[in-house]
Amino acid sequence: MITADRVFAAGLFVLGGAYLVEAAKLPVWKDQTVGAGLFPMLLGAAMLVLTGASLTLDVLERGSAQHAREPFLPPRRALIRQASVLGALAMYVLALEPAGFIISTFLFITVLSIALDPARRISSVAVAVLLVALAQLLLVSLLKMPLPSGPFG
Amino acid sequence: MDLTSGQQLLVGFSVALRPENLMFAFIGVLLGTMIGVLPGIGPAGAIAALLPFTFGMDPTTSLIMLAGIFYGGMYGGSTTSILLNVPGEAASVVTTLDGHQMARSGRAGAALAISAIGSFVAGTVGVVLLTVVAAPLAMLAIRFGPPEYFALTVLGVMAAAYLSSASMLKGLAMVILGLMLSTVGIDLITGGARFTYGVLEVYGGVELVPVLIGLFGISEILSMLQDPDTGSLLRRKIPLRELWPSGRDLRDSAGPIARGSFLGFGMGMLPSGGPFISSFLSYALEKKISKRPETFGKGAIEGVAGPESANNSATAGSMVPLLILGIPFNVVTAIMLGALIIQGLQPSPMLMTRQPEFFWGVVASMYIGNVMCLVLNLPLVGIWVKILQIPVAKMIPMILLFCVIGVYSINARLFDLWLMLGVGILGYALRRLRFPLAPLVLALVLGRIMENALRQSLLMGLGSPLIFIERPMAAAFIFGVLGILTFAVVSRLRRRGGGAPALSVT
Repeated sequence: MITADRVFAAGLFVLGGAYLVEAAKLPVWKDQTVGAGLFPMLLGAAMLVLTGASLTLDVLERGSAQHAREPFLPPRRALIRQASVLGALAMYVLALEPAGFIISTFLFITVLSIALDPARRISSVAVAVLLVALAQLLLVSLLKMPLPSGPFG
Repeated sequence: MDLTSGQQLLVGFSVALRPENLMFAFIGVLLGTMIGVLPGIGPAGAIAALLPFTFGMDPTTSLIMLAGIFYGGMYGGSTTSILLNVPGEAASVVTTLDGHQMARSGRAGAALAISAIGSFVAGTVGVVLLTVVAAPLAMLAIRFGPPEYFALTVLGVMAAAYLSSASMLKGLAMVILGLMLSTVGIDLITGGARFTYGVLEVYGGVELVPVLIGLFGISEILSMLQDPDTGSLLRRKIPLRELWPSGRDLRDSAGPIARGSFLGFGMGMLPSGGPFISSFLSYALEKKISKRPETFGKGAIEGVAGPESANNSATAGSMVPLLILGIPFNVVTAIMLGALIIQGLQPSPMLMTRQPEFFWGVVASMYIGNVMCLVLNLPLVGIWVKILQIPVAKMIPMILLFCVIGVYSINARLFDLWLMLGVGILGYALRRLRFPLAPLVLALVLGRIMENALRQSLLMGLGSPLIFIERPMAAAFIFGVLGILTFAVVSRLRRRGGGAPALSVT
């Protein structure tokens, strides 16, 4: 049985190998000084040895996963909530520069608050308005932080 | 303390008492207490999210505020442990054992008060010890050359790998991953680009803040979303009558507070021995020497006083390697070092003499900050209880907003936000697989220091690695590394019969 643990270990093994190949293209010793490749080569080799040994030991010692372990993926409802939040965050990042900080932040806070707590829609909008106003006042007006102004710029 | 240190400390107070430093110390301890009270995002995530807001500040003011968040978080962490049986941050996990039992038997006020008093006493003892040991340790550290720095950084990350997870292999994998990330960008010695693949945004190295916020902010939010309940954490009224502990409570707590103060400070100075481990060791110690060990876990006040003192003292202890050696031994001080480096300040043994206002200003601010924490946590505990009534559904968007603003404001580029998002998902996967995140961050921050020290050492040794065992202090650190490895292998062999999953020795 392939566990998420093993897949991840195998992924790190491949990463270590690819990193080592790239590191080998850098000089280890150049012009009587230590080159840029020495440290990365040591790291790549260490990752290969570590993950290779752990995968081998796993097969030798156990063969297959026998321990009852928490599944890698959370329950379906939690997964949907997480995907919604990540989706909202990705949309926020996409909209931040074209729509500007004020509009995109207001929409992000409102949509996310309502999605997480559908029963309190009015308070969600109120919190969004308050947060945007506070952030604009403190960060943009007072601290002069470089936040995108969008169509209002 | 010699006269010089005393005089320097007075200079430090003149810096710490400047209005802007007082204000940011207060903001730091206030935010720290709030973050400590709220379960979920811990001091590491909070400091990471707030880092960009400090870049425009003077480095002294910046570190005063960040340190305030660190020890303020230790104060606040006990509140939810005691009232809700949910630790506000990792170092308060052990406080749930007896603190919540005290609350259930109507003694929440006494538990909160002893926790605040113990934190204050230990925090102050910790800063006094920091004041006393700073000068002698700096004198010792001046002898450190590249071989010692390399060996010490290796010892630091190895200890983190060993102590931060039940699986040494997982910890080591995270260390190597962090070191690999640290090699991305322009090589400072040869000027050549490494592992950049034409991505202009990483030529200066992988930006630290998006990685930190992704690992500790976004992944933490994803973990919080596993819980279907998004209502407020506090659903019942907590009686806080009798806030002052009885005479017997104070007598029973005096010993644990004293022991916790010294134990915490000592542990804080060691590689990976921060507040979390200090609190557990203190609890184990108090139970071991108690005349009534059977009361532990059933509401023994010693089980609150010792660990809460130890975790506060450890924050002062862990500032020693950061400020004197420039090498952080836990994740929070690693983030602080990242902040200082971004601001162009590299702590070293010479910091005390070259920039006494910075060093002693930060130390003095910790004395003042501890008094602020006591005021915030003892008479004002009712306010923190009210904060727990904010619904989680409202907190999550606010925290995410802070994360986005923090990351975007560094370079005003979307690349950093995508990096944060990607690292956040990776961090969540790592949490699910029980990979420790602290070694990854420590290695990422220490990577360049370690590589430069290695290359300089090999040049000094004309290419021979024997230089690491020819110099006594470097050799001692290398033997420490070998000791950790040997211990880990022996432990694994002893447990071999049970079997273990890939990348695990659990």
